[in-house]
Amino acid sequence: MRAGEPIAEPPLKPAVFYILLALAERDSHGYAVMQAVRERSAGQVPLRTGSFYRHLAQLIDDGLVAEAAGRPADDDPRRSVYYRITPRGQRVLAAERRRLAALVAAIDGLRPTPRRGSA
Amino acid sequence: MMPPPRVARAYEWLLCVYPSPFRARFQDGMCESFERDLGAARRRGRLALVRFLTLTFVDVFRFGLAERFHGTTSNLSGEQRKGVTMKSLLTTDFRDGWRSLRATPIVTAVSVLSLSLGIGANTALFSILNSLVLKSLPVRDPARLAILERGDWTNPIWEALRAHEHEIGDGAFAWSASRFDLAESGETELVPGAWVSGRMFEVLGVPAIRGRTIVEADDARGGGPAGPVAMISHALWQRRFGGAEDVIGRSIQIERVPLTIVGVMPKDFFGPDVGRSVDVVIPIGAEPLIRGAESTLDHRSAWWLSIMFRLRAGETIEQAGARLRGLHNQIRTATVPTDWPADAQAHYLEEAFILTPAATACSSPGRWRGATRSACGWHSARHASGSRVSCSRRV
Repeated sequence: MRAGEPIAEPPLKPAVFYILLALAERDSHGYAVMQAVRERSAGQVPLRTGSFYRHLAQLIDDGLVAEAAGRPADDDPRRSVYYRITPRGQRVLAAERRRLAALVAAIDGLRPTPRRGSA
Repeated sequence: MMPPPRVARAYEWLLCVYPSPFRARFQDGMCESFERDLGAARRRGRLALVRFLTLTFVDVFRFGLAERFHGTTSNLSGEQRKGVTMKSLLTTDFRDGWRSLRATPIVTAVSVLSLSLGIGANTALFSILNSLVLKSLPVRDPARLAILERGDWTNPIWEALRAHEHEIGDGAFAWSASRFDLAESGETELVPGAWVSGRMFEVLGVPAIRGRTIVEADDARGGGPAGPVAMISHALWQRRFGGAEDVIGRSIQIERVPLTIVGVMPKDFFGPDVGRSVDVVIPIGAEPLIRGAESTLDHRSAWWLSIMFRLRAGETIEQAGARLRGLHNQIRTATVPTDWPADAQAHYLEEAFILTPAATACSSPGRWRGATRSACGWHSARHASGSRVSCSRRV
């Protein structure tokens, strides 16, 4: 991630996509989001604390994620902040979903070329 | 499982790499993530723990520094964005450069090798320059030392000057670098050494760490009351005598002549020439014992000694030089080489004595001859390579 690059426009980076996806499911604290990304990507997105919080900072600054007002009653009191996806974040995620779907459709629309000599 | 407090504290300390606004927003969450990941790594074993801590360290520095130097741009003004964009361009340049280097490994290797050799050579040259030119003599108050310029001097000139040393300054001494054979028999064992006048250690303010220094009485021709004596370096004391406490009074063969060791020089004193260490110093008066019939002590055209004065406290080199000029005719007349042609004698009688600061003369580009070279080690390097022969070649 580099400063100056728009993070809110598709195509999203895999880490950003998975963060938005995790928050779209439920409001979460930072570590829960990191764990969700790791699990959903089956370890394909090597998200560590430093990279995660840098992505999160830019998502917040770009208005795609915000701090959540409420938190579960039985939550660890040491935990300070929960995060939620904003309506803008939802729109970006939806746009990314459409882009990915179009890509998948494009691939699905390919007809395999018959190989020479095959029946 | 909570991590030991010191690990958590160390991580908090590491987070100082991040700019403080970033830490204010995310430090609690980052610490929680670290603690939980650390617990998981502990459960996976020692190797996983080491890997986790290493990656965490890299992670903090990589993203902390990125955040510090680039930050996020969303809430920046237009001007600030321009600045950040420039930084981003620099980042891009570095990244592209790195990729180019990786894409051409042979060129990269040659470049790195060339740079390494260049840097190494420069470092070596600077070390030599530092020891020969920039470093002051390792003695007491080197700023008050002045050297007699324009090359080497004869022993008759030195003896004539020595008779007036207290008129000129606060003492004087002469020396000549040489190499001495320490072998008692068989194969030659040359070590760097120097002929020194009796008051050298006193004038320089250098004590002996064992025994005593060479003193004025030792500098009598053929040896003083204690007979022919020598001082040895700390290095030679350790190397040849194993640091024996009873080294004082032992005999040492120098050019097959037995001399008595009267003292050991300090470890950090390498001799009168900066950049050249000596292992043995011998009084100039002992020269006839070692050179025998080849002795040059009375030769008026054997140029082999360097001469240094200590200025009186509070006096300038010009004041000492003025007194030296007052003695010019007397000294020149008493030491003129009688076997020289008349015109050479006339030139000899006219040539002035010039004093140059010994501690700073080296940095003066216009004074790269004679005394300057002596003070800086050039003189001694020439003698070191030519041994005694070089001393007498100018006869």
